[in-house]
Amino acid sequence: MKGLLNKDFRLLMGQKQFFLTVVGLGILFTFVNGDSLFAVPYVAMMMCMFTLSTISYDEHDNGGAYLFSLPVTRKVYVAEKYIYGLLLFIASLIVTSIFSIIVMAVKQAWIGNGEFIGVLGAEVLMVTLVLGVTIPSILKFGPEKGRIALMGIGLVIFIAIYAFYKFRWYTGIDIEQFLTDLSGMEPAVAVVVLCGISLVILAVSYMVSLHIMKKKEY
Amino acid sequence: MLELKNVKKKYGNFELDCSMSVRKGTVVGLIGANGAGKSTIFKAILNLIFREGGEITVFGKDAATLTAKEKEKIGVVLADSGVSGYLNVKDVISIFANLYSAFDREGFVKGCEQFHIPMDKKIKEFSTGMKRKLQVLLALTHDADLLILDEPTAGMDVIARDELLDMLRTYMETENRAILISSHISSDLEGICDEIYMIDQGKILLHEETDVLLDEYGVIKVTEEQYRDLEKEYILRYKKETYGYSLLTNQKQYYRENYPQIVIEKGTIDELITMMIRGDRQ
Repeated sequence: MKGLLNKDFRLLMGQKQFFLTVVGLGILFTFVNGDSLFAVPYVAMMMCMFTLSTISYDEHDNGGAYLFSLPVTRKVYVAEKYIYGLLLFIASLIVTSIFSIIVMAVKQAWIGNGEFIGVLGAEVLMVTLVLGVTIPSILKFGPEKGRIALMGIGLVIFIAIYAFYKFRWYTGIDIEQFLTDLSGMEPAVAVVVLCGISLVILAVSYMVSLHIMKKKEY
Repeated sequence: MLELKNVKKKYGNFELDCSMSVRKGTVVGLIGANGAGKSTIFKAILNLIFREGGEITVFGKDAATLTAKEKEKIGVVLADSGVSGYLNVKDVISIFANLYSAFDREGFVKGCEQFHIPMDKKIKEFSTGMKRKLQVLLALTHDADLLILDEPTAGMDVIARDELLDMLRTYMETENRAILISSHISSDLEGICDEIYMIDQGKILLHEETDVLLDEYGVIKVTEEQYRDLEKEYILRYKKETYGYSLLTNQKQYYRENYPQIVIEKGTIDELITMMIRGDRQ
């Protein structure tokens, strides 16, 4: 695991331009848009997308064959991708949150604890969904076909959510009540609930990815 | 140390069905034409592809169940894969030091200097030979007991090939080690291997000690008349030629003693391969 994390962080350091561009754009749009919170979702999302690039780098020129001939098991490889994605996400979430708090303090335009924590909670859920869907699809279809597959998966999820909402009365789950309950919760409790949902999504995604990797040939 | 028993794998019309073994203290060569199944064997051993039958044991254990710790004792060079091109050698040193508990950082750096491998250049900018040298050095510098080397000399010049073969000889001076190696340059294998397996269309055609192969196998060249009178018991393959026939034998001495008038050539491994694959059976 340590060796794989080392590799992926070194791949990130090799892409300094990408890294600096994301941070630069995050800062720029924060001031251009006048949206003090812009950097939080933007930088966090872009950084976690880098996890997907590391899979492309690993598989470039059939590199996966060599990688798995080293002391790397498929199980550890899959786990490392999720851990790496979450580490990048958490690090960028902390840095961008501090940055946004400073900007709001300077502007004297604090948006309130509830809304700020709400933005963080929504960001956690969004990144989880993106990582949870994209990691298995890139592992299954590769970086090129994976993008096409992602569009298909996105469409299926959209239809599933729409169908679920349309026929919600038949499922016995009162989604509207859940959303009402969520918005009525203490912000911290709501974040804990969203983190719980995120963990479930990641756990399911991890199991799917592991299943894919165990069947993959190089 | 390594054993394959009736290992089967199908790709369309190609079917691998092979058995072979590598004992401690030996260097075993695998030769065959492109597409014969050499890389498929290497990948099956490393569990990069899944066999459809048979058994593969490494260090006495099913190859598919090796732990990361056990895989540390295997050094690998693959013909069609390698270290990510987006890294440089300094990155690779740090990664390998984290992956292998016995990684010899100093020995590796010394090897890089010997082979003129740059430290800061991205690996994707390396030549094929340079990439291969890097992989070989990495395979040799973590105290592996077994080396699995698929075309380790590909793309290397003569001097680098000699240096590499010397390094492999030095590696084998430590007891209880073994190497499985393939190369399309048969002279590389002649100089280093104790045994040779020849593979064609997924099947092992021949398994012989290298000394026996070089001392007792030979190519006989005869006219049609000579061919008619020749004892054919020790002829493995024959091929029609313009002058008559060329014949592959594993009893060169027998024919030398009994037919002093016929031409018998020692035969290089390349000629033996060609005869085994292209020649017809008696």
